Amino acid sequence: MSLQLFNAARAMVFILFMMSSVSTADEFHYNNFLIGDRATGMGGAYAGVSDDPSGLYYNPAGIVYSTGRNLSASLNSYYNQTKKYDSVISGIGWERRSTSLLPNFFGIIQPLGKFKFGFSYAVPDSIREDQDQTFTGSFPTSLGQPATRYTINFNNEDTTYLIGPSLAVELNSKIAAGMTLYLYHRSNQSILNQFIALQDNTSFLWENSYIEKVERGYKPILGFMITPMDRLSIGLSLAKTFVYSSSVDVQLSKVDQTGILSLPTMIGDSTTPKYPVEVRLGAAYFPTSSLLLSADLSYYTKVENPNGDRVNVVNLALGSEYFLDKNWAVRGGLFTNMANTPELDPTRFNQEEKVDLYGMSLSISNFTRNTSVSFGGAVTTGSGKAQIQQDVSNIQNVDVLGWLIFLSSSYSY
Amino acid sequence: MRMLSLLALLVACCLPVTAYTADDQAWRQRASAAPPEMTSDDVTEEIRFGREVAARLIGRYGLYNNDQLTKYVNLVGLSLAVNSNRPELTYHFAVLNTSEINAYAAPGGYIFVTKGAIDKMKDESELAGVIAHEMGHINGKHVVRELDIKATEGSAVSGLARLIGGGTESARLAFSKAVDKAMDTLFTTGYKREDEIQADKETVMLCAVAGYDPAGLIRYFERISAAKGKSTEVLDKTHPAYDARILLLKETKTAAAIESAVLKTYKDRFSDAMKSVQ
Repeated sequence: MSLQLFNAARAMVFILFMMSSVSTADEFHYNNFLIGDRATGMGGAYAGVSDDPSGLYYNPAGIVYSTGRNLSASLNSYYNQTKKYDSVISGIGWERRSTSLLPNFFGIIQPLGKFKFGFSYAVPDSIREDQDQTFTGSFPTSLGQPATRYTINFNNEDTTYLIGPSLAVELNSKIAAGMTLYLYHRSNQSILNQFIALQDNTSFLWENSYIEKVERGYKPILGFMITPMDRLSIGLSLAKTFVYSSSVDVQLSKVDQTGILSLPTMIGDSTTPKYPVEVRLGAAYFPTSSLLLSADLSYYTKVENPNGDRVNVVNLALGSEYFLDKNWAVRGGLFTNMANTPELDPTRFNQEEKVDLYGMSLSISNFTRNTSVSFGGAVTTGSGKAQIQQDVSNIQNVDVLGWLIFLSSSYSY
Repeated sequence: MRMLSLLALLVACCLPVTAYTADDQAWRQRASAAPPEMTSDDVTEEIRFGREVAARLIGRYGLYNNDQLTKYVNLVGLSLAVNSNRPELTYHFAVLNTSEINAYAAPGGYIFVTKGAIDKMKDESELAGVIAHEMGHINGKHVVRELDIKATEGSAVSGLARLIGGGTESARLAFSKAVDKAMDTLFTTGYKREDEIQADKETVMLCAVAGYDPAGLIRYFERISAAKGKSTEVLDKTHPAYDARILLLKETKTAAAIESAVLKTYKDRFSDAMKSVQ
């Protein structure tokens, strides 16, 4: 959605100190969900491993080395995140919660002559954000009298879906190549409802905005896996999301302090957004059949978009897997999820928040002859800055804490 | 751009083609990988699979209807089977009703020799050599390993995995496809070269231990290589060249140092048995 369009929509509403901006999901990070059974336990450090269905997402070249004849893997996860903004309104802070419960990965690999064919479904981002707060007291306004009550209800659902085939081939004993071609679909619905009661107890303001956004496109992922020496594997993948269809519809309704109702106004926009080029370089070292160590470096290019520029981002992930015996394994990982927004400038208005996140993951898996079941979780946390209020240069501190638990299985036959 | 240059350099370092072996990436296999030993359920599954392949072979050619010949072939086969390293299997032997010159092994202990092959034999040691070669494929679990034939699980963990991941009908379909693949191996692609080498080597030892002259298979190959034609079409397509196999058999025989052993051809017994064949 164009920044001009959105600002025009907001300008139609009362400009008060406490009117907040609408954030559309976690567009401010690229590593919101770890994908796949083994990869999630290993912090997403998977480009150099990728020898099972998780590889369809991280580096499709790696599936050439999958050892099962046919593999299917699925992961079901629950995610919860809390964001706390301090001193938003007269020293009082805001809190927004987000939850998501969904199966966020399924993948299957099938040998096909010299090739390995794969098919997968992934949800790399999903948020169900919710804020329900009422503030009472005396808050300054630009309407000649202070406000005594402010209520905000904010609900935001934003999910990205990827689904598509993969194909990989071993070029020689040291190099493999592969490609995944995902169809991309993003669906976002956001409702912001704000109510302000003024001091005279007869005047009030009400604003309601509804935003619906749908994007469609495709996301190719090209991967290479190189084995320069025994037990060492290096993976490289390149990806980019191309949006060929985008629609944003905004509906605004309001009542001003004189009681005049403005009928709902619809505003639409079909500008297609741009997404960065994603480069993932990973290394995996397999010293024994019990131990695996991996590391990934992910780079996202900067993007210029009408609804907000995005800066270059570098994320790092470290992962490990250790088999206690042939039936039990533990996995652990550390990862970053750095913000793609620029640093906030205290002299400017209406800037997007910037919070760098850091996380760790842990999982345990049980193996039988043909199957494995994994249970684990991840925690992310970080602090940063935000500018919640419209047209005001105040900057708030924001703290984020998120956690995820997952249950997954894989099956070979 | 710098990253792409680095990639190009890495790829250039790795481009020289090296001889590929299946073990090149064996270090990727984790500790949870299936153990090499088979469980009793795996053997049951192997027998079930082999029975299906055997049924298809019989369906394709039919059995040669001669009880005496069938009994004779079974006696020869069982004398080799007592020294097999697969005591958990019960071997079955039969003659296929076709003039093609070939022999087939199905996992689980099912061995077939064609009528056409028997017609080319001159003594019992040649029959023993052919049967021992097929037994080598079964003892070496060549088809079982290639197609990863193993029992499906009934554990709680696997049930939970199926519930989460949705694998139910897929195992049945995989079995059917595996049988198709086994038929491809027997009639089109052949076994892997190293599997054929192993089976030929095992022929020498199996025959010698059972008291048969291992040179029987050598004489048989020399004879049918001179008669190559339509009747040896499948055999020629799915096996290495005769001279290479003959050389390997001779080398294995020499290496085993069995020249001094008293090993027999049982030519007369073979001739008596063939009198019943019309």
